[in-house]
Amino acid sequence: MKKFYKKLTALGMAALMCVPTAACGGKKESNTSANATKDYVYVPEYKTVSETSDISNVVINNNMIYYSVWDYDDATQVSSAAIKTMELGGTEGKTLPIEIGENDNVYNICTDNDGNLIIVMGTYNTSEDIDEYLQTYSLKKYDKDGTELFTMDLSGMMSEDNAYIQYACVDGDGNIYLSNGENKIWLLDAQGNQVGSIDVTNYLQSMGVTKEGKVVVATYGTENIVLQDVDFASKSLGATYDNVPNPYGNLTILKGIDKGCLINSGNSLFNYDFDTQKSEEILNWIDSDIDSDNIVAVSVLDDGRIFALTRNNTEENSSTEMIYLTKTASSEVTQKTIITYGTVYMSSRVRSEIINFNKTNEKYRIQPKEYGSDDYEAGMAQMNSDIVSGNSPDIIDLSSGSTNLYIEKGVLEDLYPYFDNDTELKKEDYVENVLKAYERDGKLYAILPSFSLSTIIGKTADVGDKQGWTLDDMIALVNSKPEGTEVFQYATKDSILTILCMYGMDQFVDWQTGKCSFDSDTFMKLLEFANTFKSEFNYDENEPSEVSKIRDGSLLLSLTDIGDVQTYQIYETMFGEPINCVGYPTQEGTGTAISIGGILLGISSKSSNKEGAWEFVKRFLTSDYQNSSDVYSFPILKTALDAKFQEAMTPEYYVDENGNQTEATKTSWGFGDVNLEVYAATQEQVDAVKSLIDSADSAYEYNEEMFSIITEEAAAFFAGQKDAKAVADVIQSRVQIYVNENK
Amino acid sequence: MKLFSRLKEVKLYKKQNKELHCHSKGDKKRRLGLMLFLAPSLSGVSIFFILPFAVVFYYALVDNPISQQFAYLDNFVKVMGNGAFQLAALNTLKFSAVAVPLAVLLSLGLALLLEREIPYRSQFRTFFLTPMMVPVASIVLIFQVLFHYNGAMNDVLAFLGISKIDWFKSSYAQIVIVILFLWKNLGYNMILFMAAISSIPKDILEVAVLESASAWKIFIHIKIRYLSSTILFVTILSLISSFKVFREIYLLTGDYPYDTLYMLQHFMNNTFQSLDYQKLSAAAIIMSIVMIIIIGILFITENRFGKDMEE
Amino acid sequence: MRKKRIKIYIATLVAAVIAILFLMPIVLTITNSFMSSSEISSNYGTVFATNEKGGKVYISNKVNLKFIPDMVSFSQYVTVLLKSPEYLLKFWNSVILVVPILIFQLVVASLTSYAFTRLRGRLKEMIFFTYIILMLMPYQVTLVPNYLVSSWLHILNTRWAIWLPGVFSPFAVYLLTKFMRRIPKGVIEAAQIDGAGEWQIFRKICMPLCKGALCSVAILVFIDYWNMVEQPLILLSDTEMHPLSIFLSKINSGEIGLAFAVATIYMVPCLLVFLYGEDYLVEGITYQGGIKG
Repeated sequence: MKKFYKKLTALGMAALMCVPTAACGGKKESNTSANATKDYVYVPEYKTVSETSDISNVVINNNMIYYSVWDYDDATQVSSAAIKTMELGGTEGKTLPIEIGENDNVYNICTDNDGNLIIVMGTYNTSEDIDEYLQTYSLKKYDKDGTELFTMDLSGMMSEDNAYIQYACVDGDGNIYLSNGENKIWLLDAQGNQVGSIDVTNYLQSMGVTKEGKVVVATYGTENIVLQDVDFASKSLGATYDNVPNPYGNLTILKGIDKGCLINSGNSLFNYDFDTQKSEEILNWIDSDIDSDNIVAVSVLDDGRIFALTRNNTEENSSTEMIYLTKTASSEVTQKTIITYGTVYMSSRVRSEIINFNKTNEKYRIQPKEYGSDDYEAGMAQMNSDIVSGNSPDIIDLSSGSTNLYIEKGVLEDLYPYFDNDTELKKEDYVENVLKAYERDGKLYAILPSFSLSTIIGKTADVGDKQGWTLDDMIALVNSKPEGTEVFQYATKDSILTILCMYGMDQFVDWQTGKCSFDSDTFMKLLEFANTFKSEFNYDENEPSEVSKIRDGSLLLSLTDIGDVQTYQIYETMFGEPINCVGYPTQEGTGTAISIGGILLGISSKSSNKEGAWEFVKRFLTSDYQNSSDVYSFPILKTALDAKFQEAMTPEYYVDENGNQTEATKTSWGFGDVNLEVYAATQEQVDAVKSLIDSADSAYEYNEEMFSIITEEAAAFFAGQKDAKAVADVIQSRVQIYVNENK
Repeated sequence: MKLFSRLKEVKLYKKQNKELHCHSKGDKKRRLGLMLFLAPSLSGVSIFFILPFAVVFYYALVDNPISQQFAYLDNFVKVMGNGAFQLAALNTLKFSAVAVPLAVLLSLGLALLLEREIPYRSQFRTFFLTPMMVPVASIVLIFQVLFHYNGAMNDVLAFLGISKIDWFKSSYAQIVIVILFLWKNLGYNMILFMAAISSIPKDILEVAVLESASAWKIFIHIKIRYLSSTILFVTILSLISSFKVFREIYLLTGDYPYDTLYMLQHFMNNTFQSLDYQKLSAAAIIMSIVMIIIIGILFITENRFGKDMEE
Repeated sequence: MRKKRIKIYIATLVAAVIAILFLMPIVLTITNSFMSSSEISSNYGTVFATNEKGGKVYISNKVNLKFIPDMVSFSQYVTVLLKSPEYLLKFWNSVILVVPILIFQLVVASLTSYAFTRLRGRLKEMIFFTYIILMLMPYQVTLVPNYLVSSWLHILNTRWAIWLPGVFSPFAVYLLTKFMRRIPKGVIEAAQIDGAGEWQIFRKICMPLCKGALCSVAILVFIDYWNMVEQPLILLSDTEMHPLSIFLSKINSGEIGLAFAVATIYMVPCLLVFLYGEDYLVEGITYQGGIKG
């Protein structure tokens, strides 16, 4: 019952927000950033920097940017580091005459009011013995041109257990604050002499300096993160401030624009006012076309602009950009048509596509609406209600489930007409049966840019060479084996029931007619079968690995997800004899299911900008996207898929120590006692994967409501309290209501 | 036949009384004054009940709250055709059809029982009222313990040599809920009946006893007639309470209970949770129409039977 | 005479059996509140246990219903009353929410009911009928529109959002009207002939006669609002204003012991209302000087 009230609260509060907006017409009081129309935006100006090395410790003082670079030369196996400076707006850095040895690491750079640099450096001692590989810290001060003012050894100050410095700050009076980022703050005067230290009981989240030159730390309060003053004089933490925005990962404290401080929560930048203890979002990175995953440093400039440094590392190349964000009235910015993208969890792949789309598209702008930022479940419920109640985002991320329900309710747009009208894309170019997985009555409701295959693998000798089998076949196989033969690795009653039900759901629920048949013999057999497994899985580290068990015949089958040729090859090696991806037991069909490779997109049938939504969705179907190296599973574009197959068949070589050209392993999986390695695939292997792809015809989905009913009721059977018939009847009764209700 | 002549006398008195009342009918000032009495409630009810109801009605007619296009009767057709709604309506009807008459009859029985000169009458009265005080959560906990598959009730059955019953997940479920409902509501209904019984003019009863009318005759001819208005009243109250029992059912069995327990409120609650507001509104309107019919029938029945005794 | 004696014995026996059945839960609640947490959990195990997804967990061990604690323990009360003041705060919230509703609903309803009793005509009948229909609407239906209205009136997340709909609830109107109709017309007519105005009749004649009815209605209204869960959840987003009833409905396995103690404390006001009002209850609206032959 807890769940209901949680759900009700979340729904009631959140979903109802949309009702008054609709009814009052125009009066918006929403608190999600995606909805709020701010009267200003931060307009970015990009400067690509000619730096190829890794940049860190970016600090800005007196219109000069200081940073450290680190480079590793593969050929000579030597790393080099330097501290550089650059004028604001510049693209070329100048190295400061600060000597950094090969064993030195620059950990922190900060500046004081006079423009001097305070640098925390760590040095490894070059002992041969790896166990004594110790690091000592020192604090160095330089003037702005890199002339050393003093060096202070910190090893006396730091004991061994907290020998690490994460944060360093300088307050308005030049005092230096160091912290290990956990539980300790060291206080040093401007000359680097230790004055005292503070033990922090609550885990330290961040440390920073405010506009006023006051050092504050972020710590865990009783419930949320709070800010606390660091009082240098009394060597203790001072006043506590509430209402700190919740970070997505790291929280960074920056000097404020006019006063106080800014807080970077990961996705957005907040202004924090210490007097009112209120935080206010001033910019959402994605709104300024910045991928928050790539941000290395953020800083506030004296003129009020915001500076961000991003670094985008891809396999091919990496680029560093300095971005200057200027606050501009919304009215001065060319307005594009806004298209909303609703998701419970924003995948980084989609985020970067959105940013690229927004940077280049003249007409449309994608605005993400992230529902699950605080609570995944509540977010899902809220997105669900938005979609059903007609307040749907234009583009819907369907990867979190419920696609069948949406199709049934008619909230998704048929995408085939868009294919037909598109000049670039042809639907014939895509793998048909994958498109078909989300096709109903000749209408396409969702786009799956990449996919993998969920299947059951067994020895051909056991499961035969046909794809697809029934539950009876499976039970017969299990019965034909000696007592004690394991069927699946790590299987429990619950997991087997869930998995077999999930992939075989079509046998039990017909969404078209709304008929359920959990009272059928098949389902009862399934229950009986699941009951033969263990109740709980006890992990035993002395147990032989999956591979050994398969090879000696004590383990029969393998449940897996195949997303590339190599995985198939691994399984072939694992079984050590011919295998067959026989699939999940179903009444008919092949039982190999298409599973979502991370992204599944649909367009709302209520959207007023379907054309614009398609513009974005089709990006995931273009040859550029489909062929890019970071699509991990099978691409849906036929040519891209063929290219993947080609790649899998092409051997890679390296030169071994004897100077011989040797074939390199494509991939290797370790299993404790066995290590499996595979090389370039053979044509037969590729053909096997191809035929597997061709045979997969449906996508599965996990419906939480249904499965909670099934597992709840099945437990009585598994506990030996009721017979299968009674349990099946109750499940039938309850799920039937659910299905009817949602018809 | 003195008894019946006595009844006639009463009627006559009533008639005169009515005529007396007619005198004030023309008194406009009084009417205006009475309207002032009505004003606060009317305005409050309009804002907090009628206006929201109008919103519900509006939602039932549009296709969704954003585009607000008129869908005419589409929503109603959809809801009427929905299997879950049909099941819910049927179950609710069944439950009310069983529970409400039982609540009326049993509480009347209790009232008559306590009317006898038995010892500790007032204590018994208090005991019968106590279930009202127990918070819903405790009731749920206790019923769960009683009717759980491994609970106390099945222990008793086992003692009697009857095999276990899964009370909440079988056709017995409705029985448990009816018991819960009766247990909770009998006390108050009983009080209402006791009050009504005590207001039956004693002299009529005495005359009847003197006439040596049988207890059964007295009950049928006098008591029931005097109580008819209270019976209607208790029926409507029980009907309201029968809707409120949902909270207990919900806490006992969750969103999707065994099908015999699936009530209209489940349907509404679940559509509310998935914010399928059109479906919810349409279902609500259909339900109110049925309500209007049922209450209307009850009113007409009362007018036919009880009017002469009450006015 | 002997036959009558036997009849009375049987009647008493029947009443006693019913009384035991009726008393059981309340006795259970009270006695169980004196059990220690460990005793509670060993008795009821995981009746309220939930799995990580929030679904119910199947209990295969026996549930053990017990009336008398092995050892009387006040630990639950110590926790509720002394260790965590939040329960008392929530209790206080309940009081603040319910008492104004109770008082003003009765005031508004008695005025309205009086008017309904005195007025005649089609229009009045229709309004009265509407009240009954509105009264029968399940909360799920009216909750969202109620939310809307509250947001229009800018009273969302204030106690007014609970108070106002409560004060104007048609429920008490219906009950009181039913009671007031039983006041013999002659009494009112007599006062009318004596020249009393409507207000005087209401104050001086109607109200004193309705004491019992008011009590009776008050008990129902009080219990109804004392147990409310859904309205505060939706209309008060600030959990600091939430009443104790919400806590009681959210109990999970670890808190069952506490729940009994909280429930017992929670019953105290109901008990007081009963003790105060019971004598009036049965009187209802009996007007002793009623019909004279």
